[in-house]
Amino acid sequence: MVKVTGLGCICAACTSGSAALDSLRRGRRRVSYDLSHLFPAGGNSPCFQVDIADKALLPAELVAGCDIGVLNRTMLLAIRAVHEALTTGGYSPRSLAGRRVGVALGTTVGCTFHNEPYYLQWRQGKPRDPAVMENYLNSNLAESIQHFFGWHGPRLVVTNSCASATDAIGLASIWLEQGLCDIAIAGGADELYRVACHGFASLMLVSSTLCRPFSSGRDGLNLGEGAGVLLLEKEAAEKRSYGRILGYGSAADGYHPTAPHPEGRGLRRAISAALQRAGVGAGDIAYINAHGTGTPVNDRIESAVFAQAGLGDDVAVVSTKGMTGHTLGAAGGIEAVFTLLTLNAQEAAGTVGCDLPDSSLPFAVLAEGERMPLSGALGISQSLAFGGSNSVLVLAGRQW
Amino acid sequence: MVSLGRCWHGGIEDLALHSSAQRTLRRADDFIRLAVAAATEVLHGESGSDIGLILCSSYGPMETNFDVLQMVIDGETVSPALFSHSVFNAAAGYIAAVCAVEGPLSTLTEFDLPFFRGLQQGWLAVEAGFMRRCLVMQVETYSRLLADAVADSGGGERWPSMAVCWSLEKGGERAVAMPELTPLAAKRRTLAGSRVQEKEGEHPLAAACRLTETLCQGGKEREWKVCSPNTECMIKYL
Repeated sequence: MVKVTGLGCICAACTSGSAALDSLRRGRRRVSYDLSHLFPAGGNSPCFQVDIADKALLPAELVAGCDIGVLNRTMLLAIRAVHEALTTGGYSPRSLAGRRVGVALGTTVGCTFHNEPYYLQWRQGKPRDPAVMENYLNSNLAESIQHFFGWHGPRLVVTNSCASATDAIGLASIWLEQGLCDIAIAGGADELYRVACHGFASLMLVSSTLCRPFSSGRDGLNLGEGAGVLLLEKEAAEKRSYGRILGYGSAADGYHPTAPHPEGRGLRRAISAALQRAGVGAGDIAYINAHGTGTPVNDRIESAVFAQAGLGDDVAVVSTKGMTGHTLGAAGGIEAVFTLLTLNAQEAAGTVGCDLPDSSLPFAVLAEGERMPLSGALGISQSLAFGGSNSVLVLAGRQW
Repeated sequence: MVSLGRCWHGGIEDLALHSSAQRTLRRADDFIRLAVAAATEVLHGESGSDIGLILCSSYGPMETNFDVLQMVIDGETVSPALFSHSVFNAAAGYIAAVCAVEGPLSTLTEFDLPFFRGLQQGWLAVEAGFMRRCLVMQVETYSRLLADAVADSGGGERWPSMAVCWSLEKGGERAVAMPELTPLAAKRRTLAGSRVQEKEGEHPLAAACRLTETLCQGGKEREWKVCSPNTECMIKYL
């Protein structure tokens, strides 16, 4: 079993993991409405942007000797969350240098070459700065984090779209179980980027208003940015913990390259596999942080799966994307942090944006403004993705 | 115990997709087509929820990414199909749909020995019981922009689009130890020199292709060492 000994989080809802619980309880939305440059003409949508400029994202103690100019925003968001995870885990940034620290991070935007000036110069046959391409070749998220902090150990960047961070945490927990490293950093990071905004708009998945997960009349998601990271250590580590990774399950729909299975076939199997690995039953789950994007299809499928999963009557199901937006490759990391904090607080706050719960859904979620004491210390954080990927973590709070 | 099963490597010219796959792939790019072809060759009709996939790539569907970027820059409405194909794990989704692979799917992005890092993850996934069989593949199709960047940097021959795919399975006869990756002194990568390649002057997928060829021909070696300037990987039969 794997312990979570530190956590870090930055998103529109909170600039640190330590502030996240308060933000969840207040349910306040920090939304940017002036990002029309990210969207096609006439297609603006609210976005959940981290209101910190690039240069200010890097923690002060890491600025010295660092060339911020070569670090993209996704990297800076990741470094900030990793730094917080280390600090809350009782480590100084450089104290693990030379150790077997695994790094598993999910991203979507962070893996692409998206230097538009370079691309335009190439299209126009103009001379290009070779340093731009070299910088891309040296910007793999996990590799760069390892170099930045001076770590050795396994690493991977998971690019499973919106399930990336959930899978990264699951895979890192396998490393620890199999003895591949002593400590692991796992989660995800992603910045807002206009290609993603245009793409989601083209798929008609973006709402022009604030998203309303599981609410009647919901009509799409809002995009966001951020990073969420867990510091994982072996069970033997005698130290304060935020909880444990009990199980991880993942399954493909095998149905359609881009659309989810209408009955959530893959999601059902992923939940079942994660519960089985955790050695617990669906009735033991007290809290679920759903993928809950606010699109009509996603929320209907998740609700149908919950209704058939054998969950207890007293499980609190929420989506937190009404406060963070959909942060794509970071979502699973941020939501794993939220899940652990909620399990430790033993009280769930309702789904921000779910102001009129959709009565046609077969499973009721906790609506906006509601609160519910938890009936236990086990929770689920789950992600669904393009390509029919479904990934599920079973997490335990520290009291378990 | 984890064993090596079937393996395959090939390029665009080797594609031989059956008619139903061709229908599904009619709007897919070369990256997706190569990935599906590689999986089809190695699976030999096998399917199920106990089969998973680890798809690795350094560059992903780069040409499709630029096609989408061009539409955005031009102010055109982005094609929904093109956008959904531009995400790195679109190919994994197609493999799942075409080949009925319903176990865990992971797409990994890495510049340094991506195939061999994927092999290590696949070995762990099978050993830990997450799946009975794991397809591990690397797919690269590069892009015209990258080809020009390589040429501008004094690089050698144009890199061909290719895929390599191995099957790892629980049990079996060709048991292998977990691939061991050892970091060497970190060096900054450049396109021109050897630093992005596994061996000086070679195509980035050359080492994985050469090893696949050896395996397909039933080579007698018991262990192999693959090196990049930044990492060394050992693969050993038990």
